[in-house]
Amino acid sequence: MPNYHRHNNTVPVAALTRWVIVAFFLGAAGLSYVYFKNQLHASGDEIRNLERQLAEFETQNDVVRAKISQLSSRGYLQKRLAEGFIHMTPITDDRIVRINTTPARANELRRVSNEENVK
Amino acid sequence: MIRSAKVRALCACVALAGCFTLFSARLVHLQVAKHDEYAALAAEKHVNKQIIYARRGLIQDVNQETLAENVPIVTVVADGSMIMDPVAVAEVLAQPLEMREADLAAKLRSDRRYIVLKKKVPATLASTIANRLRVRSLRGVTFEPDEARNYPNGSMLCHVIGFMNSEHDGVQGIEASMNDYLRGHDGFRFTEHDRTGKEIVLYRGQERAARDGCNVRLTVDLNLQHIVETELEDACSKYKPEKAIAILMRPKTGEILALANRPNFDLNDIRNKPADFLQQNAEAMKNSAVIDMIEPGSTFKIVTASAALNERLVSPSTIIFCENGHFNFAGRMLHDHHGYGDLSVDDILMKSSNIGAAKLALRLGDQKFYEYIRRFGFGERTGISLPGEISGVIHPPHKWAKIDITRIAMGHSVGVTPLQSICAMSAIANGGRLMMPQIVREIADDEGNTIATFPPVEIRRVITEEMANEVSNALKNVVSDKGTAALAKVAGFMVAGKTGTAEKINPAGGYFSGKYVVSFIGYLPADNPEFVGLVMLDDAKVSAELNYGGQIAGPIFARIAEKTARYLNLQPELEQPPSNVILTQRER
Repeated sequence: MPNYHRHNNTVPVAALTRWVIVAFFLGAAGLSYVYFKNQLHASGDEIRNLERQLAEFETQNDVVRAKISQLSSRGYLQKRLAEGFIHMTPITDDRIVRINTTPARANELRRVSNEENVK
Repeated sequence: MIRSAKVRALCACVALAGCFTLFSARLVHLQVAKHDEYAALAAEKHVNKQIIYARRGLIQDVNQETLAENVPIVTVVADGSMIMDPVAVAEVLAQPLEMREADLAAKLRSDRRYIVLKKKVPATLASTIANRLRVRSLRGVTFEPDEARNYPNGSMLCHVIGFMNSEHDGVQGIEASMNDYLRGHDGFRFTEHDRTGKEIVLYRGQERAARDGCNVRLTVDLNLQHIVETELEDACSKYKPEKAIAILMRPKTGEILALANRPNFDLNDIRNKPADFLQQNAEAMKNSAVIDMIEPGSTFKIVTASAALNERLVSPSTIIFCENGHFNFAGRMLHDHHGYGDLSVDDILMKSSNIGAAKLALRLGDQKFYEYIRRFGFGERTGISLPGEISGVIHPPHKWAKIDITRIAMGHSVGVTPLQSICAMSAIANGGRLMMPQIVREIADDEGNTIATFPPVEIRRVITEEMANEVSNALKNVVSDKGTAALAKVAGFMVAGKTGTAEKINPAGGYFSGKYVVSFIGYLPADNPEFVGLVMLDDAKVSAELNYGGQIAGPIFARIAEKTARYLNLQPELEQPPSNVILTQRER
């Protein structure tokens, strides 16, 4: 005689497994969605921080560039020169030699003159 | 009973269906009919249109030396609705912003969402403040990026570079004329933020990048500009004129190499001055080289002589009787500085005879003379890329009184700009071809790629090359011991040029007594000109016997020309026997 009671209490393993797998995948999908969404937000925050840093670097760059232009401008250098910070000795006329640069023929004697001579 | 239960069930179903229908209808109403309205409300609350500011282009000289650049600054703004602890925020901001803590706290207690705390704060300082706020987790203060224009050379070339208004639009000089190229195009980005005001990068919407402004490269060489400015400054210290102008131009291309005016101003000072400063100092800020009209005086005789020669009515050696210094024409007496008898056309220019010039103009006749004046570019704008240029005043012959032709011949009764005068002289130096003056050499994008160049433009041929050479030869004599501009000589170079001394016009009518506009326009080397220079002083404070173009403007030109020739490495052309000759032999 078959044991009906035992038969009625059998766990439907196959069906249960199926539902567990479905539930697992659904849960995994949900968690993945939340995880990736968080990742995207985190990446977004990182992008924002990097953009801010980049903007700061660009700003610093502009500030430094402006400073370089200012410090290397003719007006500033003239001012420093007037203050005596740098000393420049003008080349005197007797030190200037003008050389005729036109092509010379072989054995040609060439004349060199300076402005003192011209005067 | 059964029927009754069925009816009740049906009623319940109908009621439920009715409810769902109502909810559905409301949903459809909200989602379809009211969609735009609520979407706009949501966007207003959470979506911002963030402007991405374009960087203004640089202005550079011909050697790419920076003349105008940008310095980043910020405007510090607070959102009162987001500030939880005004006292703490005020404590952080007060010292770096140089504001009183109590005042700041009072401002921050407001519920307004846009409170401007301070403008023009250096960007580096803003960065420090932002870090301090971040460390103390204080929210509600933002920094709006902005730019201030900086001019590293201060007052040098100020009238050409120009400046901007508070809206970042150029109002003077290249800043104004090239504004469309310089300013670039702002971009934008739609962003969403959470309830704390933090941007949700994930939900960024439409975005367009900013396009930075182009860099404008001028034809001006700052080294030459410095030479011109220094000499002009010295001249102003010595002669104390009301105005002074100097221009250097390359005749073959029309490029402006240097342009300076006095009085001048410091470009960096403008932004710190009150609004009425511009009006009060309009005269100093005017680029007189293109905006002011003057009677040119004897420099205009080059037009008269060129026209007569080009029409072959005279030759350089044709003798004109100069009436011994007193010429009665149309009932009015015309005088020469010295009484001259017979003078050749060359001599008329060399001695600057008013009567000789008048007689040349009379030979031409009103209409022909007028045609040549216009052909030399007088009475029309030159087309230079500087704002506010005027065309001058040249009346047509039918408006001339009978004596006008004799006055115009010597540069009176006409209104011309200094730029027109140097262009006319450049036409002579350039073999009779009138070139358009150019001050912008090229325009490059922010990556340095050239996007536009401005090649030389020949406006027209004014006189034949042969006649231009004849005039040029006559102008060489002007800068000789016999001419009116002996002091404009430059060692080692043959200089051609013309002096001008005109009585100063009184705006109330007539002329000022004892006030003159003296000028000299010349070029070198005379046979192959590399540059043309103009020097003009308005009302120099010197004795009457010295107040002549050849006495005042000539020497200034000579000093500028000598330094310019050295800078341009021009080879001296004059064969002057040196006192001691050093011989060198080429190596075999």
